[in-house]
Amino acid sequence: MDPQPQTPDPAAWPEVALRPAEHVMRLDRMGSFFASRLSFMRALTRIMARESWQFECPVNALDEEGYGHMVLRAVAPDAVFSLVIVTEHLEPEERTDRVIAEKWDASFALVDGDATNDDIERLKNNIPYQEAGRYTARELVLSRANKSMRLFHHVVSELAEGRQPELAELMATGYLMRTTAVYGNGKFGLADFPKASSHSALAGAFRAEMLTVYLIRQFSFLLVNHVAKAKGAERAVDLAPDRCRALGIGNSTGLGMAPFLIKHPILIHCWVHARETALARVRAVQRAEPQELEHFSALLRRAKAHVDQWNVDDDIQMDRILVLRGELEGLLAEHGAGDLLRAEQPWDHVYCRVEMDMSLEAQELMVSLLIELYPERVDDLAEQMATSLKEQSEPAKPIGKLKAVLNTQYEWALSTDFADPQERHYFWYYSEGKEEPRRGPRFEEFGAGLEMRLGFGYQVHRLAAELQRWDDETSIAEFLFKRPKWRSTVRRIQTLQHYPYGEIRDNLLGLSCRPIDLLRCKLSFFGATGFDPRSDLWTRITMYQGAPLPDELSDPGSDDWAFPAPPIGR
Amino acid sequence: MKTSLDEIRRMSFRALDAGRAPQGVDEDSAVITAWLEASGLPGLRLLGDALDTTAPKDRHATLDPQLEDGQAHVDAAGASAVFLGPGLIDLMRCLAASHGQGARLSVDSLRHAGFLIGFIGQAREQGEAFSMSPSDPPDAQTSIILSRGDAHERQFWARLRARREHAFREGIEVNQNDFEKVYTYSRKILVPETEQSRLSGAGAGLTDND
Repeated sequence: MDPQPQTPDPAAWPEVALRPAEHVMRLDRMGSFFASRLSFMRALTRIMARESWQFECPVNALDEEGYGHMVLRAVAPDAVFSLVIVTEHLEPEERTDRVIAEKWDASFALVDGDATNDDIERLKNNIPYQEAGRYTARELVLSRANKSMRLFHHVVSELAEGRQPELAELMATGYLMRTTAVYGNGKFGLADFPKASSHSALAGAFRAEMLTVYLIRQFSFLLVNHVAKAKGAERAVDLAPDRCRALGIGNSTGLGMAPFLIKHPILIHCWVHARETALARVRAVQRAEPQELEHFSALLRRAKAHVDQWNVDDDIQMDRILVLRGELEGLLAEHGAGDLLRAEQPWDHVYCRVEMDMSLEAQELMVSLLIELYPERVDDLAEQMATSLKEQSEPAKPIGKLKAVLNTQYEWALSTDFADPQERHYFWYYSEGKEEPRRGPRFEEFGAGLEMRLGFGYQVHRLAAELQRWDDETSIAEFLFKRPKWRSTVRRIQTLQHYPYGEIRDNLLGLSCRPIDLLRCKLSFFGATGFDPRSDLWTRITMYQGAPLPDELSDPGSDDWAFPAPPIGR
Repeated sequence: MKTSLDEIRRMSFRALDAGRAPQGVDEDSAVITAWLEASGLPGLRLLGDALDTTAPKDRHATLDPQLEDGQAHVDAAGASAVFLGPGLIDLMRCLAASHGQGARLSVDSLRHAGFLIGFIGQAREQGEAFSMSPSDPPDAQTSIILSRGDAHERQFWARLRARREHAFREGIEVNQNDFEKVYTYSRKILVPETEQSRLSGAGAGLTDND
């Protein structure tokens, strides 16, 4: 009799020890994360496939140049979602990806249910104004996008002439349109997260936002086809499925994304813990089956091809990519020679091999690659990446316990010399200019008194000094009655002792802090690829590149779109 | 006007943060403001009034409770529950943890005592049933007593819960004047724009016509 159950409890999978938080939650490592099969886009497309979602375009009111409005409809088993789209002409001088922009090529709202004529009229009068409009609990997400001027008109011209654009050109840019903000969770009157998450498919983190982006991607294909048809009439052809698949949706992201990682520590713990648990489960595999070994080989080759076509202007990132290419070349050679894997715990061996002397980029790429091999062992973890838990203080605990936590978990903060001006060089703030998040030099720029609360290491450092004056037996409650200004810091420390991956072990105020690392970490959990830093503060990325199209979601192998690289076919 | 729970919370937090409320008190009282509005109670009005009438130095109100056998007394000396509420609920939790049903907290000279309903409601959601008498205190300076929950209040809390569930589905109807007052306070957290800060912002100087 087979002692193994047919469908084992996922929580019962054996694991090796998780990588410790002080190892994982460092900015340089977080800034090397790659998308994985636990990423939110991947999880959403699996749900849509499993539930056989249907997609339609019930309203197309675009003129010959593609201006007007359109509605896309996504039908889940227990819900309908409608993307209302408004497009308009944009002058080149009006085109900016920054938050301070006031006009866009296209604007979007994801409606919970069918969009009625009243909804469409109301949204046509609001979504082109984005943050300046008002929204209701009917709408789950608000977004906007601009065309890629490199690609959009070129693709239209080619299609109008009856030709398919070159695949390599499409892959190099990666998208026809680039979103510049995707707002959800109650912003500007939108529905709160509990309403969106009342739909089982949208219960995970950022699922409504990811659905919106998936629909925007589909809209970008419909738009080029529509304009090409108007231009080329009978000569025109639609963008072929393999070309569509090669394209995602671009995104430009600046500092707005960074504070989220600091302000939602329990959620971040859930994300990272799930990823680390997945890695631990795969590393614990005792022996690999032949098809798993074959899959590993294919993925390693694909990852190499993916990295080979990843080119950026940023010198720091390009140097890292060049190193990574060499490392992957080396791994492929070792694998070809039969030296990379061993029979016992092969994946643990591979991971340790990479960790031994390869770059952080190589280590984190390997994490994503290994997770990819075992859907049955890891996919349940994608459903553990949302939480309603809030930070909670423990007022009855004595100060002595708090001091102990500080000494064991915050060495990184206590050992930082905050008397050194370089360690407090920056402050983060919201500007009066459309509330754009910015970072300025504290000792030169006005406004440090209004800074965002991101310098948690500095707060911990100061709290530790304050606590030295208090008796260990005093309760936290009594301490906070007398010193209410420490309430937030104390609560965070007390909470995060139970959620170690929630705290970034680096000083975000210091001169050496590169916010781009925070952005990449968060975007990797979304499922973004093609990280293209434009500075330390700003990156472009691609979402859903290689993802199955709506009518391909249920095809065999449709979930196999990690490390998109040409040829993208199935 | 209609808004959302998170929009009220975020705006209230900024108003309190800009108003120099203690860190953590701003977070807690922002959540309570939104909770009250979603429950059909005037959280924004109480917050706006507290910010109007409390000098910045008095927003760091401290507690010096007189404790005796599970019972505590606090003289709030005219402080607002918007700023004192988080500490009072902590104190009540400590008393309840050590003295169970006998826990009792009396507070004199507290303003905006109605704001405490939100803290008590949140505590109930986390399994700690406290009650306050009088349960509908006037906004003026008043005396209240917190004690362990009373089963007779279930209907009151159920009614608030039903209102919040409706608010999640349909949005929260708020008084526009109350909203705009707190919105004005919340804008004070924004740093005035300069040409230098605009040019050093993320994404500045990049070509987006590509």
